[in-house]
Amino acid sequence: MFDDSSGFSRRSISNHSGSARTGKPSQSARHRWGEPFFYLIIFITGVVVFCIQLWTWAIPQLTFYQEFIPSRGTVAETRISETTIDSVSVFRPEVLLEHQVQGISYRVWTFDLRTLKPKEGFVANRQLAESVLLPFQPGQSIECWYRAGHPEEAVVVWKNSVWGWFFLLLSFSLIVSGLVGFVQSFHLIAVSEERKAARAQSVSPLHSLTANSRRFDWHTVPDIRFINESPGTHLAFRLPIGNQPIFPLVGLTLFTMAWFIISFGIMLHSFIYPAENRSDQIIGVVFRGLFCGVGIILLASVLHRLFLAFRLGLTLLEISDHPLYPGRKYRVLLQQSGVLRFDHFSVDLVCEEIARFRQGTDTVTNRKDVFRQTIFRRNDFETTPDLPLHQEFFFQLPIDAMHSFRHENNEILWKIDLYAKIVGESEIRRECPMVVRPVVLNDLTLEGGGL
Amino acid sequence: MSRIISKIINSSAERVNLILPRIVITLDGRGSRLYYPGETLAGSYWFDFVGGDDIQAVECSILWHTEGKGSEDMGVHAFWRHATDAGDWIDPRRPGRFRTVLPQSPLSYSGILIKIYWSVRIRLFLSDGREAVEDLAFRLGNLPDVRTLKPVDLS
Repeated sequence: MFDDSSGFSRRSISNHSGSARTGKPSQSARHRWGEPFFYLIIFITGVVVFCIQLWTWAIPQLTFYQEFIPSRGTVAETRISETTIDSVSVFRPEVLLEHQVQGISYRVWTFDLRTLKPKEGFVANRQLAESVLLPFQPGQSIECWYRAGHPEEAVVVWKNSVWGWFFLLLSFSLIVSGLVGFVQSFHLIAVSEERKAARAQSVSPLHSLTANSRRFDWHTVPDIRFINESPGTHLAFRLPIGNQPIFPLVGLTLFTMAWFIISFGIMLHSFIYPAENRSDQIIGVVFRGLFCGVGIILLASVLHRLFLAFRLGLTLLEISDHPLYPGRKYRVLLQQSGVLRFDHFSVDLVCEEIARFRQGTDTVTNRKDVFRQTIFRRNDFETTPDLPLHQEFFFQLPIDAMHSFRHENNEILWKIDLYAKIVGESEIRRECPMVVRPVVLNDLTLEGGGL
Repeated sequence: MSRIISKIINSSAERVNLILPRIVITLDGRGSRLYYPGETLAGSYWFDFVGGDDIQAVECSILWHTEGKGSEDMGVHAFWRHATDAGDWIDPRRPGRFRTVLPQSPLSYSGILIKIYWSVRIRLFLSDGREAVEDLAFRLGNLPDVRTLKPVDLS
């Protein structure tokens, strides 16, 4: 009935709804209305906002362009018109405009489009109304617009707001994205998770285990290029050292510097311009002192961290082959420079499971070491520029080891963990991720052993 | 009396209508459900308690999914769909066949936070809008439980 060539093959999807399960068989239709409903809300919101903007802003704009003719006139006088609305005094700026149309002079009290209506354009703040009149001086020649066929209706203020068009476009884009999303998600309501996955990627049929299809077989195994593009000096590949706290350290340093500058700036300012009251002076000095004290503690913390980070010096870890395969033996080179006295230095081979799940609005990550083997350890030793730690050792992956695996919510990570305890300091940890691939007979025979 | 009889007949008809079809999945030629990467997985499926006119579509997937602490991940290795509206003829009693070469990864895995399961899934879409789903689990690879993993002593 079916064969490989008649269908899709192999693609990955993730459950985007968080912790919901898709793998368990059910005996009832599972319709998901949440997504279409979400897009419908976006669509309706877009339509409502667009209509409001169209009615209150866009149509008057377009009407103005159609009905009003630009011209020039002279300011004869300005005034604040006052009236009472609901027992409250309100004010409106007005300009007495003199302009000519076809040789006939017109004098009209006006300001903007709202002024053309008797009860519009009033504000409760008189100062605000006065301030907008400041640019208009009697005798000044200004740009004005009059209504075609009715020159007695003119305005002196007209602003074409870019923001208005921007928000109109925004609401329009809400309509489009809501409509497209609704149609798409509505279409997929009764579609199974498996078919969604099949649609997500159009894949060529799987005929045989060709080289290309085999590479695709490892789509859940992390990419090896990140490591394999970094050759080693002694062994084949240099492993990237993770967990180096560069970015947090830079962030903390910048924050501390900012805190320090601001707090001491405030302290300096208080000495130059002291408060008049004696008690205010004392309270001010106490609080500024506390502020500066926090700055000093932060600075000390940053200096200590910088000291630890740079004191450890350069750590180099190289491996004889990569990717790794279960059951194979690998040679590792560890090199540690710097002038240090170590309480201990150990290297562990670790397999870690990482599981992520949604908890409310947060994504929680759980980690668990499921395999750990110490492959090198040395206690109580010193390194100098002439005598750095330079050590080669071996390890073998268990024959039944799981390969590396990475998907959206779950990960199986193989890595080498370095633990360095400098005398008098806390232990420093570095991790070097590696990729373990599943054993394929051809890989072992064609590509040779790890050593 | 006739009213009572018709009521009984109607309720029986409703009950029959609510019974979901039974989906039977079998794998070819072996008692074990253990497969290795690169091996061919083949089998068949059929349906009971359903008429040909009641079936709208059938989907067959060879897939893996995760279980455990994290949210579920899922990957479909092979997928076929037959639908009456696409002109396919579906006979519930005639076994449908599936056949695919299994991939290199991910292998079936039993960890502490993460477990990876492989299965053949048949999803049946009925004309009245209901669905019936059946999974047949199998193992890809023969990895033991991760708790039994022992370090290799090179000394």
